[in-house]
Amino acid sequence: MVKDGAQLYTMEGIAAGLIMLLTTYLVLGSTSVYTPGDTHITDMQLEQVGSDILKIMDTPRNLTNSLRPNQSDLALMVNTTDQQGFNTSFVGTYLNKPGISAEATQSGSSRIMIKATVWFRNQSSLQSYQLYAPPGNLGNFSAREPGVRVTRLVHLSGKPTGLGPIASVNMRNKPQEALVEVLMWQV
Amino acid sequence: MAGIDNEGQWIIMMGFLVSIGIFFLAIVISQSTLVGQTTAEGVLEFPKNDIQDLRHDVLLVEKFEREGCGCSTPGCQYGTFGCDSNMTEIREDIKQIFLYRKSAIVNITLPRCGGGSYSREVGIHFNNGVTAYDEYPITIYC
Amino acid sequence: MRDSAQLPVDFLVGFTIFILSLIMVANFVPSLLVGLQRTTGIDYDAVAYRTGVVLVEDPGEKTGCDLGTGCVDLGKPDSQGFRPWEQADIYHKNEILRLGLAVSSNTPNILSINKINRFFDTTFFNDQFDSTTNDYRSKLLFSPTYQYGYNVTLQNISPMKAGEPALKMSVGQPYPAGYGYIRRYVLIKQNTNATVNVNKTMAFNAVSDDQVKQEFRIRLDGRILYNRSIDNPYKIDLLREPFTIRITNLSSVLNNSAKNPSPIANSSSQWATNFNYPAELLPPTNATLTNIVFYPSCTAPSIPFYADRMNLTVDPELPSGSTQILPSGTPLTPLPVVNTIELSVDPLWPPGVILFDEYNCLEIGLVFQNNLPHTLVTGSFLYDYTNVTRPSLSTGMLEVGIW
Repeated sequence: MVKDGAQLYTMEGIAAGLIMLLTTYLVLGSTSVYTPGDTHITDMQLEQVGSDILKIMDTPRNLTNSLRPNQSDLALMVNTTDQQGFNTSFVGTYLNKPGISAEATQSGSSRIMIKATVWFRNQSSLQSYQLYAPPGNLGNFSAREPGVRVTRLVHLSGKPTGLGPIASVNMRNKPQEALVEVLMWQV
Repeated sequence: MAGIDNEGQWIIMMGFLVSIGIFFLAIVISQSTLVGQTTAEGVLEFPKNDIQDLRHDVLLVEKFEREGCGCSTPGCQYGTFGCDSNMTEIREDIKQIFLYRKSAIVNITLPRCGGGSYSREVGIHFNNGVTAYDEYPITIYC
Repeated sequence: MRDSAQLPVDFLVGFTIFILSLIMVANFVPSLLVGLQRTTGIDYDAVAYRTGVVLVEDPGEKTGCDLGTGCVDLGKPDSQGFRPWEQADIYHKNEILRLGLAVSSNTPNILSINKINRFFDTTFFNDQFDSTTNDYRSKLLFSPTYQYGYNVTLQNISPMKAGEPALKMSVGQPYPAGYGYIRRYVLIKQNTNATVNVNKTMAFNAVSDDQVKQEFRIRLDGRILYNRSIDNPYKIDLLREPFTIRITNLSSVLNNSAKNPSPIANSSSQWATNFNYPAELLPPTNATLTNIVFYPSCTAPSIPFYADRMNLTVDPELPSGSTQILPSGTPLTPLPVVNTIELSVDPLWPPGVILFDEYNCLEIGLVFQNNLPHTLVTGSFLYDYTNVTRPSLSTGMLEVGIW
């Protein structure tokens, strides 16, 4: 009494529905709407902050009485190999200046550590010596973010004082350019 | 099979069309997540601080040369052999530092300021494989 | 073709199932597109970075034509011309293209205090969040239509120059929960000033009682100030910076003449004689400033002073002191002065009657009374790098938040 020739319609409907639902399930399961580049945004901010600090440390604040630019803080620290002074100035004076109520604490916190190296040319190759290395306890390694490298060229009038044995032999005692390289990372 | 009616096949086709549309949307959305990542990476990739640092240092070195290479003894003044050798070494310093630490080729043009010339034209060339920066001439009066 | 207008039940069932599935799937699609519409996080840090670069590394720019009315000729002369953007007045505000705080394009990260003061002046720039003519959105964020929220804050780290309070300025709205952010460290270049004690050196004391003019001059020599051996961050750039000069101890140069004969004693306890009645002595009274004039090229005949604005403060330490703003050209009403004159001169950017640039010289003359009692002051004070107070660069921190 009931024709069953049209049951195909039902089956086709079910089949079409199943296809669409399956597709949607596949698609939703594969595209991840995640927040990209978070690490890189922090890196960008940290790199800009570090470059700015080196630039400011390398700018003399005033002329001398004979109207020549003074020696910049950075050149003085490299010339005298003032390790602690470099860390105090870089991290303490600028990055973590107490009393500054920064609106955000992403870049500029007590969790940032630095390591500073000076690169100079010896004949036809580059050599380096340490300007500042952090103390042994570096904190929780598993939570460390990748480091950012900032650099600044300094003009030296001769060989700096206070060098280690190898550098003091290999560095020439003439006006030269050296590269101060600072590695910054958050722990 | 002769009694199968083809009339309802359009339902399946509609289903397929909708699925294809959803797949297309998925492809478009998967491209969008790359955009945000490239923005900050693009900033990191551009060597703004390197170029500014290089430019500042070249002008500092130029002034150092023009004012006698920092020497106070009578023989060591601008244009003499002592100053020339200092300048050659300094330029080599800059080239090597940029080549080995920054993977960039740097060429600095510092013509002499003697022989009655009124000014000198300094040139800077920087190329780190992705970004090239050329500045010529920077005219500085002797 | 059927003419009974009846659908098979199976067809209806199948079609219903299909339609129901289609509706369910269509409900899923907006959640896929949410990621495309999202406007938080990804873009804001880039805008904040770009804003930071424009503020810290760009000196800003102003054209010579009004952007509101259309620029037919970019070189159209107007009375403000291509002067630095921080010197634009309210009628030329629309000509400002970009707000940048750097001293020049060769000195990134070194900011000018005059640009800073102007940038954070919300009585000049529109800072309303809801306004469509918000100046910071159009001239700094370059998005006049999209309503970014923003917050720009500048504060100093090392102290400012002596006598100045600590710097903390901001524009924009308070920070919300999520935002893009950049922090820049900067150096701030402040304005110079000079203090002249006319009693300290005989160079400023007149030796003769009957000079033609009792005049104290301030000499601004562009060839000295713009000397190429001075690096850019330390230049005294009077075309772009105001300066202040303070002349003190004027009471010591009053009526120094002793009784006949000369020489003039350098003490105001010796009173002048009344030349009409020589036996009478006159007690010293206040000096009187009668005029301020300009000497173009330091030699030409004097002209009435011409500057956008000069501030004259007389005796600020006394209750009788006064301050006035001097517009250009109007003659000065003679002012009694007990001890101190302080003159603040706005930047000397041309055009104008005066010509001051790196090749020219300009003298500002303060003319004092030449009738009894005489103000026996003379000489010329050279405003150069050794005579004036040059503040050191102060370190500061700039923060930009965008949401």
